[in-house]
Amino acid sequence: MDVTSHLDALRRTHPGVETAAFVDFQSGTVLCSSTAIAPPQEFLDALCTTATDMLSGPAGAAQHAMMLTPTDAVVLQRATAGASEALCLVCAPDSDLETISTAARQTAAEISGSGA
Amino acid sequence: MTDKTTLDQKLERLSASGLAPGGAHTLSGNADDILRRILRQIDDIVLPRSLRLESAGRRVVTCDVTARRLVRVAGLGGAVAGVEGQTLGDDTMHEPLRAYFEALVASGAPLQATVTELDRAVEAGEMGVSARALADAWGLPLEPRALLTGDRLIETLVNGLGDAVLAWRSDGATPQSGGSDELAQDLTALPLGPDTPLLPPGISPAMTAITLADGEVAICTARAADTTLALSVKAAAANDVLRLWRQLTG
Repeated sequence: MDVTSHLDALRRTHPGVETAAFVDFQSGTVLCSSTAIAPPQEFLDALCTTATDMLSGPAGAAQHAMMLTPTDAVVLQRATAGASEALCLVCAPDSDLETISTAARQTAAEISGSGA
Repeated sequence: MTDKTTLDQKLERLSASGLAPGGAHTLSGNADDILRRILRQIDDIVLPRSLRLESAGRRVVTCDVTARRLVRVAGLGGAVAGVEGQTLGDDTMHEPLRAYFEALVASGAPLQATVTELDRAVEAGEMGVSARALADAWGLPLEPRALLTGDRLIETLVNGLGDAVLAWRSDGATPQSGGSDELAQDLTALPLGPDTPLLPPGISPAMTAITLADGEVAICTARAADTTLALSVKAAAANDVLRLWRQLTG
Protein backbone atom coordinates (compact mmCIF):
# COMPACT_ATOMS: atom_id res chain seq x y z
CA MET A 1 0.00 0.00 0.00
CA ASP A 2 1.55 3.30 -1.04
CA VAL A 3 1.33 6.54 0.90
CA THR A 4 -1.52 7.94 -1.20
CA SER A 5 -3.58 4.83 -0.53
CA HIS A 6 -3.01 5.25 3.21
CA LEU A 7 -4.17 8.88 3.04
CA ASP A 8 -7.19 8.01 0.88
CA ALA A 9 -8.14 5.20 3.26
CA LEU A 10 -7.92 7.51 6.25
CA ARG A 11 -10.19 10.07 4.57
CA ARG A 12 -12.64 7.35 3.59
CA THR A 13 -12.82 6.03 7.14
CA HIS A 14 -13.10 9.50 8.70
CA PRO A 15 -15.33 11.70 6.53
CA GLY A 16 -14.56 14.71 8.74
CA VAL A 17 -11.01 14.71 7.36
CA GLU A 18 -11.10 17.08 4.39
CA THR A 19 -7.40 17.07 3.55
CA ALA A 20 -4.70 14.55 4.44
CA ALA A 21 -1.11 15.40 3.57
CA PHE A 22 2.23 13.78 4.30
CA VAL A 23 4.88 16.46 4.50
CA ASP A 24 8.55 16.96 5.20
CA PHE A 25 8.18 20.00 7.42
CA GLN A 26 11.92 20.60 7.69
CA SER A 27 12.24 21.21 3.96
CA GLY A 28 8.69 22.51 3.61
CA THR A 29 7.80 19.89 1.03
CA VAL A 30 4.42 18.24 0.59
CA LEU A 31 5.34 14.64 -0.21
CA CYS A 32 1.82 13.43 -0.87
CA SER A 33 -1.75 14.60 -0.35
CA SER A 34 -5.32 13.42 -0.56
CA THR A 35 -8.21 15.86 -0.79
CA ALA A 36 -11.74 15.94 -2.14
CA ILE A 37 -10.96 19.10 -4.08
CA ALA A 38 -7.36 19.95 -5.00
CA PRO A 39 -6.34 22.87 -2.75
CA PRO A 40 -4.13 25.70 -3.97
CA GLN A 41 -0.41 25.18 -3.38
CA GLU A 42 -0.42 28.10 -0.92
CA PHE A 43 -2.77 26.12 1.31
CA LEU A 44 -0.41 23.13 1.39
CA ASP A 45 2.58 25.43 1.94
CA ALA A 46 0.79 27.01 4.90
CA LEU A 47 0.09 23.54 6.26
CA CYS A 48 3.82 22.77 6.12
CA THR A 49 4.58 25.99 7.98
CA THR A 50 2.00 25.11 10.62
CA ALA A 51 3.58 21.68 11.03
CA THR A 52 6.99 23.30 11.50
CA ASP A 53 5.67 25.78 14.07
CA MET A 54 3.77 23.14 16.00
CA LEU A 55 6.15 20.17 15.88
CA SER A 56 9.52 21.90 16.09
CA GLY A 57 8.66 25.44 17.10
CA PRO A 58 9.07 27.41 20.31
CA ALA A 59 7.18 24.87 22.43
CA GLY A 60 9.91 22.33 21.71
CA ALA A 61 10.10 19.06 19.82
CA ALA A 62 6.64 17.58 19.66
CA GLN A 63 5.16 14.34 18.47
CA HIS A 64 1.57 15.38 18.05
CA ALA A 65 -0.40 18.61 17.85
CA MET A 66 -3.97 19.76 17.37
CA MET A 67 -5.26 23.16 16.36
CA LEU A 68 -8.82 24.46 16.60
CA THR A 69 -10.21 27.53 14.84
CA PRO A 70 -13.80 28.52 14.08
CA THR A 71 -13.47 27.15 10.54
CA ASP A 72 -11.37 24.01 10.86
CA ALA A 73 -9.44 21.64 13.06
CA VAL A 74 -5.95 20.43 12.26
CA VAL A 75 -4.24 17.28 13.54
CA LEU A 76 -0.48 16.90 13.08
CA GLN A 77 1.34 13.66 13.79
CA ARG A 78 5.08 13.26 13.42
CA ALA A 79 5.82 10.05 11.51
CA THR A 80 8.27 8.68 14.06
CA ALA A 81 10.20 10.18 16.96
CA GLY A 82 12.71 12.67 15.61
CA ALA A 83 11.54 12.37 12.00
CA SER A 84 10.96 15.48 9.93
CA GLU A 85 8.00 13.92 8.15
CA ALA A 86 4.51 14.39 9.51
CA LEU A 87 0.95 13.56 8.71
CA CYS A 88 -1.26 16.66 8.50
CA LEU A 89 -5.02 16.35 8.62
CA VAL A 90 -7.37 19.27 8.06
CA CYS A 91 -10.81 18.45 9.42
CA ALA A 92 -14.22 19.98 9.94
CA PRO A 93 -14.24 22.14 13.10
CA ASP A 94 -16.63 19.82 14.97
CA SER A 95 -14.66 16.66 14.21
CA ASP A 96 -13.91 14.12 16.94
CA LEU A 97 -10.24 14.97 17.37
CA GLU A 98 -9.59 12.15 19.80
CA THR A 99 -10.67 9.54 17.27
CA ILE A 100 -8.92 11.27 14.40
CA SER A 101 -5.73 11.61 16.42
CA THR A 102 -5.76 7.87 17.08
CA ALA A 103 -6.24 7.24 13.37
CA ALA A 104 -3.44 9.68 12.57
CA ARG A 105 -1.02 7.88 14.89
CA GLN A 106 -1.92 4.54 13.32
CA THR A 107 -1.65 5.82 9.75
CA ALA A 108 1.65 7.56 10.43
CA ALA A 109 3.02 4.34 11.87
CA GLU A 110 1.79 2.35 8.88
CA ILE A 111 3.29 4.85 6.42
CA SER A 112 6.61 4.76 8.25
CA GLY A 113 6.48 0.99 8.30
CA SER A 114 5.87 0.95 4.57
CA GLY A 115 9.10 2.84 4.04
CA ALA A 116 7.67 6.18 2.99
CA MET B 1 1.46 35.91 40.56
CA THR B 2 -2.27 35.27 40.73
CA ASP B 3 -3.44 31.86 41.86
CA LYS B 4 -6.64 30.19 40.79
CA THR B 5 -8.42 31.02 44.03
CA THR B 6 -8.00 34.69 43.33
CA LEU B 7 -9.18 34.15 39.79
CA ASP B 8 -12.26 32.37 41.04
CA GLN B 9 -13.03 35.32 43.28
CA LYS B 10 -12.56 37.67 40.36
CA LEU B 11 -14.85 35.58 38.20
CA GLU B 12 -17.53 35.65 40.84
CA ARG B 13 -17.20 39.42 41.10
CA LEU B 14 -17.62 39.66 37.35
CA SER B 15 -20.78 37.63 37.69
CA ALA B 16 -22.28 40.53 39.57
CA SER B 17 -25.63 40.18 37.83
CA GLY B 18 -26.84 37.66 40.38
CA LEU B 19 -25.29 34.69 38.64
CA ALA B 20 -22.93 33.68 41.41
CA PRO B 21 -24.22 30.69 43.40
CA GLY B 22 -26.84 31.85 45.85
CA GLY B 23 -27.72 34.94 43.81
CA ALA B 24 -31.48 35.42 43.56
CA HIS B 25 -33.44 37.86 41.45
CA THR B 26 -36.87 38.36 39.93
CA LEU B 27 -37.70 37.97 36.25
CA SER B 28 -40.77 39.96 35.27
CA GLY B 29 -42.57 41.36 32.24
CA ASN B 30 -44.75 39.71 29.64
CA ALA B 31 -44.18 36.07 28.71
CA ASP B 32 -41.72 36.91 25.91
CA ASP B 33 -39.80 39.25 28.20
CA ILE B 34 -39.46 36.52 30.80
CA LEU B 35 -38.41 33.95 28.19
CA ARG B 36 -35.78 36.35 26.88
CA ARG B 37 -34.52 37.00 30.40
CA ILE B 38 -34.28 33.27 31.08
CA LEU B 39 -32.18 32.92 27.93
CA ARG B 40 -30.06 35.88 29.00
CA GLN B 41 -29.47 34.17 32.35
CA ILE B 42 -28.40 30.96 30.63
CA ASP B 43 -26.18 32.92 28.25
CA ASP B 44 -24.36 34.49 31.19
CA ILE B 45 -23.65 31.23 33.03
CA VAL B 46 -20.27 29.83 32.05
CA LEU B 47 -19.25 27.53 34.90
CA PRO B 48 -21.58 24.59 35.66
CA ARG B 49 -24.57 25.95 37.58
CA SER B 50 -28.18 25.14 38.23
CA LEU B 51 -30.69 27.90 37.45
CA ARG B 52 -33.80 27.43 39.60
CA LEU B 53 -36.94 29.18 38.39
CA GLU B 54 -39.92 29.42 40.73
CA SER B 55 -43.28 30.81 39.69
CA ALA B 56 -45.85 32.46 41.93
CA GLY B 57 -47.81 29.22 41.77
CA ARG B 58 -44.86 27.46 43.39
CA ARG B 59 -43.99 25.60 40.22
CA VAL B 60 -40.24 25.11 40.12
CA VAL B 61 -38.08 24.36 37.10
CA THR B 62 -34.42 23.51 37.43
CA CYS B 63 -32.16 24.21 34.47
CA ASP B 64 -28.70 22.63 34.39
CA VAL B 65 -26.39 25.01 32.55
CA THR B 66 -22.74 25.02 31.64
CA ALA B 67 -20.70 26.99 29.13
CA ARG B 68 -23.78 29.08 28.26
CA ARG B 69 -25.64 25.94 27.23
CA LEU B 70 -28.83 24.50 28.65
CA VAL B 71 -27.99 20.89 29.28
CA ARG B 72 -31.11 19.56 31.03
CA VAL B 73 -34.41 20.73 32.55
CA ALA B 74 -36.63 19.21 35.21
CA GLY B 75 -39.54 20.16 37.41
CA LEU B 76 -42.80 20.43 35.49
CA GLY B 77 -43.16 16.69 35.55
CA GLY B 78 -44.32 15.92 32.05
CA ALA B 79 -46.28 19.11 31.34
CA VAL B 80 -44.56 19.00 27.96
CA ALA B 81 -43.61 15.48 27.02
CA GLY B 82 -40.14 14.53 25.83
CA VAL B 83 -38.20 17.39 27.41
CA GLU B 84 -37.35 16.38 30.94
CA GLY B 85 -34.48 13.97 31.25
CA GLN B 86 -33.47 14.55 27.64
CA THR B 87 -30.17 15.92 26.50
CA LEU B 88 -31.07 18.99 24.57
CA GLY B 89 -28.50 19.28 21.81
CA ASP B 90 -30.82 18.44 18.94
CA ASP B 91 -32.52 21.16 16.84
CA THR B 92 -35.82 19.31 17.20
CA MET B 93 -35.82 20.27 20.90
CA HIS B 94 -36.14 24.02 20.21
CA GLU B 95 -39.93 24.07 20.01
CA PRO B 96 -40.64 21.56 22.81
CA LEU B 97 -38.35 23.63 25.02
CA ARG B 98 -40.26 26.78 24.19
CA ALA B 99 -43.53 25.03 25.04
CA TYR B 100 -41.95 23.82 28.26
CA PHE B 101 -40.93 27.28 29.41
CA GLU B 102 -44.20 28.81 28.21
CA ALA B 103 -45.99 26.41 30.53
CA LEU B 104 -43.99 27.97 33.34
CA VAL B 105 -44.44 31.62 32.39
CA ALA B 106 -47.97 31.47 30.93
CA SER B 107 -49.53 33.33 33.85
CA GLY B 108 -47.30 36.33 33.25
CA ALA B 109 -46.46 36.38 36.96
CA PRO B 110 -42.84 37.13 37.86
CA LEU B 111 -40.41 34.28 38.37
CA GLN B 112 -37.94 34.04 41.19
CA ALA B 113 -34.59 32.91 39.77
CA THR B 114 -31.84 31.43 41.93
CA VAL B 115 -28.44 30.17 40.85
CA THR B 116 -26.90 27.26 42.74
CA GLU B 117 -23.95 24.96 42.32
CA LEU B 118 -24.71 22.11 39.95
CA ASP B 119 -25.01 18.96 42.02
CA ARG B 120 -24.07 16.52 39.28
CA ALA B 121 -21.28 16.20 36.77
CA VAL B 122 -21.88 17.33 33.21
CA GLU B 123 -20.71 14.53 30.95
CA ALA B 124 -18.45 15.20 28.00
CA GLY B 125 -21.19 14.23 25.55
CA GLU B 126 -23.75 16.59 27.05
CA MET B 127 -23.35 19.54 24.75
CA GLY B 128 -26.85 20.86 25.39
CA VAL B 129 -28.25 23.78 23.44
CA SER B 130 -26.80 27.27 23.50
CA ALA B 131 -28.98 30.10 24.73
CA ARG B 132 -28.27 31.95 21.51
CA ALA B 133 -29.46 29.06 19.36
CA LEU B 134 -32.70 28.99 21.35
CA ALA B 135 -33.03 32.77 21.11
CA ASP B 136 -32.68 32.61 17.34
CA ALA B 137 -35.11 29.70 17.03
CA TRP B 138 -37.66 31.43 19.25
CA GLY B 139 -37.35 34.81 17.52
CA LEU B 140 -36.16 36.46 20.74
CA PRO B 141 -32.72 37.79 19.81
CA LEU B 142 -30.28 38.51 22.62
CA GLU B 143 -28.09 41.55 22.85
CA PRO B 144 -24.39 41.02 22.19
CA ARG B 145 -22.62 39.53 25.17
CA ALA B 146 -20.75 42.22 27.04
CA LEU B 147 -19.00 40.35 29.81
CA LEU B 148 -17.12 37.78 27.79
CA THR B 149 -13.84 39.55 27.24
CA GLY B 150 -10.78 37.62 26.16
CA ASP B 151 -9.40 37.82 29.68
CA ARG B 152 -12.59 36.40 31.12
CA LEU B 153 -12.75 33.55 28.64
CA ILE B 154 -9.18 32.61 29.44
CA GLU B 155 -9.85 32.79 33.17
CA THR B 156 -12.91 30.63 32.76
CA LEU B 157 -10.91 28.06 30.84
CA VAL B 158 -8.21 27.91 33.49
CA ASN B 159 -10.79 27.69 36.27
CA GLY B 160 -12.75 25.04 34.46
CA LEU B 161 -9.69 22.85 34.03
CA GLY B 162 -8.91 23.02 37.74
CA ASP B 163 -6.06 20.84 38.91
CA ALA B 164 -5.40 19.52 35.40
CA VAL B 165 -3.44 22.73 34.79
CA LEU B 166 0.21 22.38 35.77
CA ALA B 167 1.10 25.99 34.99
CA TRP B 168 -0.27 28.83 32.93
CA ARG B 169 0.51 32.32 31.73
CA SER B 170 -1.66 34.81 29.85
CA ASP B 171 -0.86 37.98 28.02
CA GLY B 172 -3.69 40.45 27.53
CA ALA B 173 -5.28 43.42 29.21
CA THR B 174 -4.40 41.77 32.54
CA PRO B 175 -1.29 39.55 32.23
CA GLN B 176 -1.53 36.73 34.76
CA SER B 177 0.11 33.45 35.61
CA GLY B 178 -0.26 30.60 38.06
CA GLY B 179 0.41 26.98 38.89
CA SER B 180 3.77 25.36 39.45
CA ASP B 181 6.53 27.98 39.67
CA GLU B 182 9.03 25.69 38.00
CA LEU B 183 6.81 24.90 35.03
CA ALA B 184 5.59 28.49 34.80
CA GLN B 185 9.22 29.46 34.20
CA ASP B 186 9.24 27.18 31.15
CA LEU B 187 6.16 28.93 29.82
CA THR B 188 7.79 32.35 30.05
CA ALA B 189 10.04 31.28 27.18
CA LEU B 190 7.03 30.89 24.90
CA PRO B 191 6.20 33.90 22.74
CA LEU B 192 2.64 35.08 23.39
CA GLY B 193 0.83 38.12 22.02
CA PRO B 194 -0.70 38.76 18.61
CA ASP B 195 2.26 37.44 16.58
CA THR B 196 2.88 34.16 18.37
CA PRO B 197 3.80 31.41 15.91
CA LEU B 198 1.94 28.96 18.15
CA LEU B 199 -1.45 30.15 16.91
CA PRO B 200 -2.79 30.87 13.43
CA PRO B 201 -2.32 34.60 12.78
CA GLY B 202 -5.31 36.87 13.15
CA ILE B 203 -7.80 34.14 14.05
CA SER B 204 -9.85 34.23 17.25
CA PRO B 205 -10.90 32.15 19.01
CA ALA B 206 -8.14 29.64 18.33
CA MET B 207 -6.37 26.97 20.32
CA THR B 208 -3.48 24.57 19.84
CA ALA B 209 -2.48 21.58 21.94
CA ILE B 210 1.04 20.29 21.42
CA THR B 211 2.14 17.01 22.97
CA LEU B 212 5.85 17.22 23.59
CA ALA B 213 8.20 14.50 22.46
CA ASP B 214 8.49 13.08 25.98
CA GLY B 215 4.81 12.18 25.78
CA GLU B 216 4.25 13.43 29.33
CA VAL B 217 3.28 17.06 28.94
CA ALA B 218 1.16 19.02 26.49
CA ILE B 219 1.53 22.73 25.91
CA CYS B 220 -1.73 24.43 24.99
CA THR B 221 -1.98 27.93 23.63
CA ALA B 222 -5.14 29.91 23.03
CA ARG B 223 -6.24 33.26 21.68
CA ALA B 224 -9.48 34.99 22.65
CA ALA B 225 -9.76 38.50 21.27
CA ASP B 226 -6.61 40.33 22.45
CA THR B 227 -5.67 37.79 25.08
CA THR B 228 -3.31 34.88 24.50
CA LEU B 229 -2.65 32.03 26.89
CA ALA B 230 -0.07 29.30 27.33
CA LEU B 231 -0.71 26.47 29.73
CA SER B 232 0.85 23.12 30.44
CA VAL B 233 -1.15 20.03 31.29
CA LYS B 234 -0.43 16.34 31.48
CA ALA B 235 -0.55 15.00 27.94
CA ALA B 236 -3.55 12.84 28.76
CA ALA B 237 -5.56 15.97 29.60
CA ALA B 238 -5.00 17.71 26.25
CA ASN B 239 -8.30 16.46 24.86
CA ASP B 240 -10.12 17.78 27.93
CA VAL B 241 -8.62 21.21 27.29
CA LEU B 242 -9.85 21.20 23.70
CA ARG B 243 -13.26 19.89 24.75
CA LEU B 244 -13.76 22.68 27.29
CA TRP B 245 -12.48 25.25 24.80
CA ARG B 246 -15.06 24.06 22.29
CA GLN B 247 -17.80 24.33 24.89
CA LEU B 248 -16.77 27.84 25.83
CA THR B 249 -16.35 29.14 22.31
CA GLY B 250 -18.82 27.00 20.39
